[in-house]
Amino acid sequence: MTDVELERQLRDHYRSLDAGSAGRVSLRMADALDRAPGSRRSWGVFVASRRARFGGLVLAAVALLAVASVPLWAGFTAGPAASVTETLAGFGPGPSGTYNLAVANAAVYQAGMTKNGVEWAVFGRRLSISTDHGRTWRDGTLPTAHPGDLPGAGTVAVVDADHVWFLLSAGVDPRFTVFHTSDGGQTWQSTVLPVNIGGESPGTTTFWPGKLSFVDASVGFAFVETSDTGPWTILRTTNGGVSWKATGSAADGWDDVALDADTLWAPFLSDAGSSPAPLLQVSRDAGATWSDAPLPGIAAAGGDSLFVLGGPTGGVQFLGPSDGYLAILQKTGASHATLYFGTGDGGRTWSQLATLPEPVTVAPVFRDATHWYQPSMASSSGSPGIGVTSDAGKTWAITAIDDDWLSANEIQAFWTVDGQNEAALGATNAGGAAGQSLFLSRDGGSTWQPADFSAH
Amino acid sequence: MLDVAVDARNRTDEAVRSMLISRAEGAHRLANWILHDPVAAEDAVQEAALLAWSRRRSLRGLDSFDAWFNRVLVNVCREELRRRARKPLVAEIEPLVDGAHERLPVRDELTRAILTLTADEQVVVALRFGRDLTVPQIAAETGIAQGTVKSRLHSALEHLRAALEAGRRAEETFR
Repeated sequence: MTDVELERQLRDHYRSLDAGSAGRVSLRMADALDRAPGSRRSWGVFVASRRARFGGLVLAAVALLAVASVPLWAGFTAGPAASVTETLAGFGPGPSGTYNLAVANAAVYQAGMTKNGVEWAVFGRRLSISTDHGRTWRDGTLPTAHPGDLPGAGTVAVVDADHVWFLLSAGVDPRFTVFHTSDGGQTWQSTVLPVNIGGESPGTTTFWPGKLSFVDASVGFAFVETSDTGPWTILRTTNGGVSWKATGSAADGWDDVALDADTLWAPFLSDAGSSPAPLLQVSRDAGATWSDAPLPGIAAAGGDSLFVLGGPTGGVQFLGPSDGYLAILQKTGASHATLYFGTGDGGRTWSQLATLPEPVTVAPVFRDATHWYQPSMASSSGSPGIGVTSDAGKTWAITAIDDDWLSANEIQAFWTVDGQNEAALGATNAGGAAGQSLFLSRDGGSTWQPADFSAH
Repeated sequence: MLDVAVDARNRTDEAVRSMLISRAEGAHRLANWILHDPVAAEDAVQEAALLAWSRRRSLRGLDSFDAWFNRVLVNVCREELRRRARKPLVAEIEPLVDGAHERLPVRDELTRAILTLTADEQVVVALRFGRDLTVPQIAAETGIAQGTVKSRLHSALEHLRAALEAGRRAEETFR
């Protein structure tokens, strides 16, 4: 079956589901809103939805548990390949002394942590940077060209508290512009990347995907898509973003990462079978040529599809020039498994380190050879949780995130701080205008507080 | 001064209420695309509306209302799919609209195949082919990275393709 045929069938399928409710949904919603707390038409009784009432009970229960910080589950075993224990995360009071949902609800578009422990977050056009593990924050502003421009995923790169880059690839002006600052976002300089974008009418508001990956304050790469059908263009700067030069191309730059001035890693999706496509490629000449990086056992593992898990922490993570790690999601029918791989020789050879017999959707964070943090691990209740292992995936402890704000969402990122058992968490936010909420944990994930970006 | 503030808040509340109600039918369509169950979709819309109402103070300007509410709704639907995944679900296939009978077997297989996708995959497939959103738009609507959207779409399509082809092979075997 061709892609076109499958997509046509899917469109037909969804079109055939277009049954209207003849106004019933609107009427029911109006009635529910009139009865909801806070409504001027409220009857003072919250009776609209069984599930909503259940959600309220869950919230109350979680609030009580958060105060007591009581372990909820123990002894849960997920499968033969890894044993799992569970606890329920406690959500402590916010830094101001009260658990402030307004703070938790701040819309964070992107957030990350540098290797030297600098945390950063982007809210709309605001850039906040912390050098004390989220206790205080310093604000800067992203220099977007149009009021509606917002940074896309992967378009902000931070290597320390001062050096930040921002790739603008959306708007009515079809150009890629890289802004760079060396004072934490107080002042910016811009450079237009020397690439042509094809296929769009002038004046049309467009979005062209792109991402940045920086090695240090001088060396970095931009991966940009310049046509709907062609490969992505790779550009390198060696002077902190002042000038850029095309060095190669990549089939897909979504999750490509730079290890040094010449080495790039590119994870892929692959269909398993008799001759599966490579899951991982490496370029040692800045993207001019690429070669396969075989992952042993993948062909034997089989499955309908395999792909290297991506996410805010990156699909391929190198902790130094030699030690690197990645995780692969394997699907076989409705079954899933997550396979963990590592290298100790700069990626020349890889070996499988562990198997988790359940799916995760986001790349883990590898603190070292044995300590890994896995977001999006499902707890036995189905709520998202953070898995922590200190024996390279043999056993896992899950902290379930069953807070009202996060239960409907997906944990997207997890960063460790200086190996001090501190951590930061980014999670999508159901209630925000767009983006994520950032919660911080300073005890390895047992308790969490919303980041207070107003503390300066 | 206080009266002015209270009055402004009441006007905003009234605007939010009106916008929620005016989006109800479209929201139901979106929820049905994701859940494949009009009754559950109706529940999801109500739940999303109440959640949105309770969090209306986080809405930063009515201009962003649609993206804000759609995100709430998508997350509610995703949670419903996850709830279903925790217990076996027997899918009820709805009757087709007139004139589509020749596609019935394909659609049944397709519906079954879609229901075996993960919750996250079902959401991105519905947004891509039901609402015709692009990858960046889906990323904005769901709050997940574009690379993740792309990988989920790819994975979902491969799974669907394999499921449909397996169904066809089985059908040919029984003929």
